[in-house]
Amino acid sequence: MPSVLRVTGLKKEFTVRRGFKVFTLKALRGVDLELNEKEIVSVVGESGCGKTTLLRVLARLYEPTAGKIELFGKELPRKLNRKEELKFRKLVQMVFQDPFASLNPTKKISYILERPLKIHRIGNEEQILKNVLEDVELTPPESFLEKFPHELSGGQRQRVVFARAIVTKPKIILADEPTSMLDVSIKSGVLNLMLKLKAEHDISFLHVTHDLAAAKYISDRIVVMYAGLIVEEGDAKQIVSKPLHPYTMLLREAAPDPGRSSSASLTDVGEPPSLVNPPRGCPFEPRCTYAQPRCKEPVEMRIVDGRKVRCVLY
Amino acid sequence: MFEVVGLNAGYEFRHKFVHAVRNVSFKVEEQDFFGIAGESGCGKTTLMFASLALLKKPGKVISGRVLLDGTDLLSLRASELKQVRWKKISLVTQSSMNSLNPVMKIKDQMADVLIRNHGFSKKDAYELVKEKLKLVGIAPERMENYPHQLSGGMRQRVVIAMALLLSPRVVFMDEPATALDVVVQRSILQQIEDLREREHFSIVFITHDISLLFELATKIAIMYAGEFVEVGKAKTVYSEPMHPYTKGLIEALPSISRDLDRYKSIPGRPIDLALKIEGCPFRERCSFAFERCRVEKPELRFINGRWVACHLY
Repeated sequence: MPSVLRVTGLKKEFTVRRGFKVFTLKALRGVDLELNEKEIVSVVGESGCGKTTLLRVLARLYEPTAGKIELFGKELPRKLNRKEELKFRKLVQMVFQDPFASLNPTKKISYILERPLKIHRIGNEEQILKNVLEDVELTPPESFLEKFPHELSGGQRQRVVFARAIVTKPKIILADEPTSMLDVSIKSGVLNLMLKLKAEHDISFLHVTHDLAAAKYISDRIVVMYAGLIVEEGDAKQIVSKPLHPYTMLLREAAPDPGRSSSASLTDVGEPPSLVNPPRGCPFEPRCTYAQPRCKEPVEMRIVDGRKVRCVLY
Repeated sequence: MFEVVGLNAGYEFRHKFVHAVRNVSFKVEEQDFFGIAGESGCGKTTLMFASLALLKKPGKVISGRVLLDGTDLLSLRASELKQVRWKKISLVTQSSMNSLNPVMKIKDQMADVLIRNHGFSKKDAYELVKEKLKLVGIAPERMENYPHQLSGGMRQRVVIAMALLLSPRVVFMDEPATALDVVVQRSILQQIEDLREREHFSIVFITHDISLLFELATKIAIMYAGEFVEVGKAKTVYSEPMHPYTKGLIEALPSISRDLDRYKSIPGRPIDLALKIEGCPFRERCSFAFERCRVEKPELRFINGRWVACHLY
């Protein structure tokens, strides 16, 4: 499958001031990632691992410090003029975590969905709005167009956010924890919607989440991030059923699982390393039960069983 | 030991009454881990506040009793409640790690209740604080710190230590770990579980994360529209759910160990608790609903070793 988005050596550093001292926080420390056509890739990890920064750099909300971003095989320049920027935004849309905060409370759904059409001069036909509402399973669409966001439930609001994202017919949607604020009974409805949009509209998703079970359900591939680096990447089902990297194992153990027979005890008490002064070698080394002296040296990605793992054990 | 009998509570406004807890009864035995699960707005937090006699206006308890070792908490006067709270029953609230006072040292906010309500001297109070902090795995030096100097997980541990100060018999926990990262969350929950066994107290655990509850709780109650619809042993409720709502929740829940091709969400949305509900509150979202569900409200009945409120059985 052809790739729609390819990232090589992506780095992002933030300057942080504390008193008179200035620190450099290395949020992304060289990320290589590929997103193929009609593919859902989930990025999982703890907060502070850089997953949201990655999404924001790809959405051009942050400028990368170093690295290359290719969209449909063409390198994306650092600066875009207004026309190029519009074209980019038309192809790459975003969906945020909180459906209560990402819709303007003073505007009707019809206005919210019309905005992208006006900005991208697609021509404003009511039929387009009705079609996208039907695509996100808000039926009958007429009844939703005249409503305000507060009249909808959380799940319905998140569907409106998806409708707004697909109205420009994008090829890529960057989704930042789209289900974490939703109740259990409707969460899977939104996950199913993502699967449907992928199948019927040929949309690729880069999905950031901390919910390993949701990631396993919808994704083709899972990328595990830790301290600004990708530590494991591969087939979603395989990663969850047989994690290779010790950090992925830890995540797998920590995830709630009603099917577990007895609560296996988690021995971990550590924390992710500081990103101001990250360790030279494997970032997980201080917390890892399998740590060896050679983990202090930088560890390269290696390929094991068709998966990429950044660990000296393999 | 701890028992809630026929509790009805809600919020009173000028034109309407939101009946958030509808005739709920349950019993917590010695060293139980009793889980209450439900979606947002199902009344679980109201139930907790009402059971602790903490419900403030416009909240109101209409009827029911909350018995702790035979005394009804709801009939106690404020001064008597002060004696019971912390000592016999305590509470860890939602994102309580943010409820620590930022300008007070950890030791002072922990010792506050001991000195103020339970007649401790300052020295004894600090001694006890030190001991309880050790219990949750925080170095005693940390008691000199201010909350901002601790990580989120440590602050949550401080709040748990605070709830355990006077070795209560029952600890209510309302989503004690949801604001934390998965790994930290897991280690805190594990610690809670260890402490429960070591210190012999019971937990009433309230959350919307049912996969977590099924794994941890010994008994579980599924709450919908202010009522308990199914109550039983957590493992059996998970393996053989009876109420259609419980079934729906389990089918809606992506799990890391199961391999379903498709998870289905439950259609519709929860019913408005300000309305008078006729028949079964779940019937509009239920695929098994029939005529009787519309006219007659199903009562909780004891079937196959558990309590279910459904006309199917």
